[in-house]
Amino acid sequence: MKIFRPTEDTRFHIDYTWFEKNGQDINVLIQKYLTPEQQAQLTNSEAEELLDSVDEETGEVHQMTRTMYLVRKTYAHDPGFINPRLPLAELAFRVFLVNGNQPLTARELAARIGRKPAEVLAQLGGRAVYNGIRPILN
Amino acid sequence: MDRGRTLWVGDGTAVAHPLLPSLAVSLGGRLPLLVNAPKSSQALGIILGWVIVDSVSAHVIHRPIDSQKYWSSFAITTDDVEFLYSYIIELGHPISTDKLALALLKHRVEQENSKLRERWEGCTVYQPKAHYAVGDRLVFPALQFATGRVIALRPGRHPELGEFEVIRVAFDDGQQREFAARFPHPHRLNQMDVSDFFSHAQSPEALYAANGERVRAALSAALEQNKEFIRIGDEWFLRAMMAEINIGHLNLAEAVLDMANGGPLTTDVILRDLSLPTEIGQKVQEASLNAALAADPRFDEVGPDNKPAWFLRRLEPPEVLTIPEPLRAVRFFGQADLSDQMLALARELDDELDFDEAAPVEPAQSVRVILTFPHLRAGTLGWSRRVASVLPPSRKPRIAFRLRDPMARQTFTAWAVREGRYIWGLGEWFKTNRLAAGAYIDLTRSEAGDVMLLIDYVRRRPKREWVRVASVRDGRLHLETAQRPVYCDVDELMAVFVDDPQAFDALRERPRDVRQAVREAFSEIAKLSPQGNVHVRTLYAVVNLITRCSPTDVLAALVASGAYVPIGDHYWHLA
Repeated sequence: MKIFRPTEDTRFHIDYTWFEKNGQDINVLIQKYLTPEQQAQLTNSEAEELLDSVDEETGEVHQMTRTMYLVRKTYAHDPGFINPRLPLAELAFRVFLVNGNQPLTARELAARIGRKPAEVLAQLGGRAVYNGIRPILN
Repeated sequence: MDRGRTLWVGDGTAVAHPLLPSLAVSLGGRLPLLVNAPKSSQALGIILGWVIVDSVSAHVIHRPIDSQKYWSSFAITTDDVEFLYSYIIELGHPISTDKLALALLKHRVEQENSKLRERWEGCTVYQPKAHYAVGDRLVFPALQFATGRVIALRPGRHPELGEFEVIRVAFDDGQQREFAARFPHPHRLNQMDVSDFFSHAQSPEALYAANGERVRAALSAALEQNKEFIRIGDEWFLRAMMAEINIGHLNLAEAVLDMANGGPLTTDVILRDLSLPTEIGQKVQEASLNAALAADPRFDEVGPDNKPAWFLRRLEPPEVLTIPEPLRAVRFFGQADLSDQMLALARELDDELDFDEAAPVEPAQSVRVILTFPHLRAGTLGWSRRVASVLPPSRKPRIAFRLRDPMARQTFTAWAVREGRYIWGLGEWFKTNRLAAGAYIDLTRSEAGDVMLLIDYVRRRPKREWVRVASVRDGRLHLETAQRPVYCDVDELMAVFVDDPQAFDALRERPRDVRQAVREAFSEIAKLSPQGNVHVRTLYAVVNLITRCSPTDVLAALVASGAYVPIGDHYWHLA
């Protein structure tokens, strides 16, 4: 068995399967970011409705839930959403939520949240997984 | 749901595909949903106030020929040899290594293109705006030209994208992925000119410019070992295509050269008297005769690299086969630190003994050199860096060429000899023009017919002047200042007039190292000036009366001796 030790150049992302494996629903988790009005507008079925997005480079279609779509639409341009005073793991989760879960290295993530890469690595590269944020093994 | 590969449109965030990283721009929800990001950028940046993802999107055909690995392991294959064989047959005449290598590269590029075309045969290039049906075969430029078949269609869903379709594609490697179709929004793939894929590839000429040396080396090595090919100078031809040259032809060639005092004659001139079958092309005749002459020890190839010319070996002047005695140099053995100024002076003196083969020579149209006594005596000029700049580059042991004195309207043959680096054949010209050591000689490239160089000196009205005169007295070098007629402009510091050059032959034969030569020359020069100062240029010129050696060796001996001190401007004084 190979031991994988993340480095500052290891890329991280939100592993959505982590939620399924841990009996959680990411849509429920991220609803807290929506305004009360938005939450009221979303029925249960709508929250999990899948929307298609088109990759700008490849034309490939990927799907996301309406909840995710709303979160991203609401906060994509809101610098206050990535508030440096928040805990590092929460900040990282928010970064991935608004960037479409584009993988980022510990170094890149650190630059975006104003922390040191070693700090990011210590928090996210350990055994504990916060909101599905995991290193990409390959 | 795929993770980490999507550009989430409509909500303002850009995301790169991990396989094909992209640069995407974040836009407001009400603005156009997709924009064409710059094609290449390593930038991490903020555009329009939000995050842009990193890296480069290279939507080009990933050709092996563009990779470093391809060139580091470049070798000539059996297929290449077959191509080269056919190519030369079709061409019908010999071809240079350079041109053959370029032809091979063109062939390789075309081969790759053919493979790609074959792979895409029956495929439609995927563009989001197009409409597709189940069963269509598609090629995906943005996915390294992967190919797959449409296996399903469904309506696309997005509150801000309006109507579009989603096609499910089964790729040849078994993967299934979904793509947009009938997608009316701006998208970089929609704007792509699908007929222009090959324009991304480097041209064969560009590939050759970058890798030509490697290809030439591999090509030469492979063809050298292949008996079907024959090398004639720097050209390649097929043995099977050679005209038959028999012993009669060779004897006739010898007679032709004999009539021309040994040569040099170019192959086409010799061919005129050989009467080879007229149905054989001229170039093939030349190649065949060149190969036959090269294999016969009676003939020596002495033409410049690009035009073979032949000389009868038995009629070649002995001076081009062995280095003339006055040019046989003695080297300084010992340690001495030469200053930058000294080295600069040595470079300025431009002695062929200091020629560095590794340093490239910049071509020049015309150069001026200073005639030194050893060359005056040997009837030669040094094939120094300056002289090399007006001569065509050559890898041959010796080349014969025509020199012309435009003022005297006289043309004569000279030889550039690699071993010893000298140009021989100027003795008569020196004598006719009564040149002295220290004379300026001008060499100019010539484009006229068979004349390669124009030679001249700086003429002046003959006049008796006080000059440095060298003689041999009591078996020793003797210098004095005396009046002599001067027929040409000379370098004041290097001019040395010698009334009896033969006397110096015996003096030069006496064994003497550079230190001793410097000692003898220094004392003689010093006595000619009241201060006893000696300039290095003069010392170098006078030392070379008795011992052939380079400026750096003279300087090294001067520095290492400890008996002399520099007093500035390359003047030295006894310590």
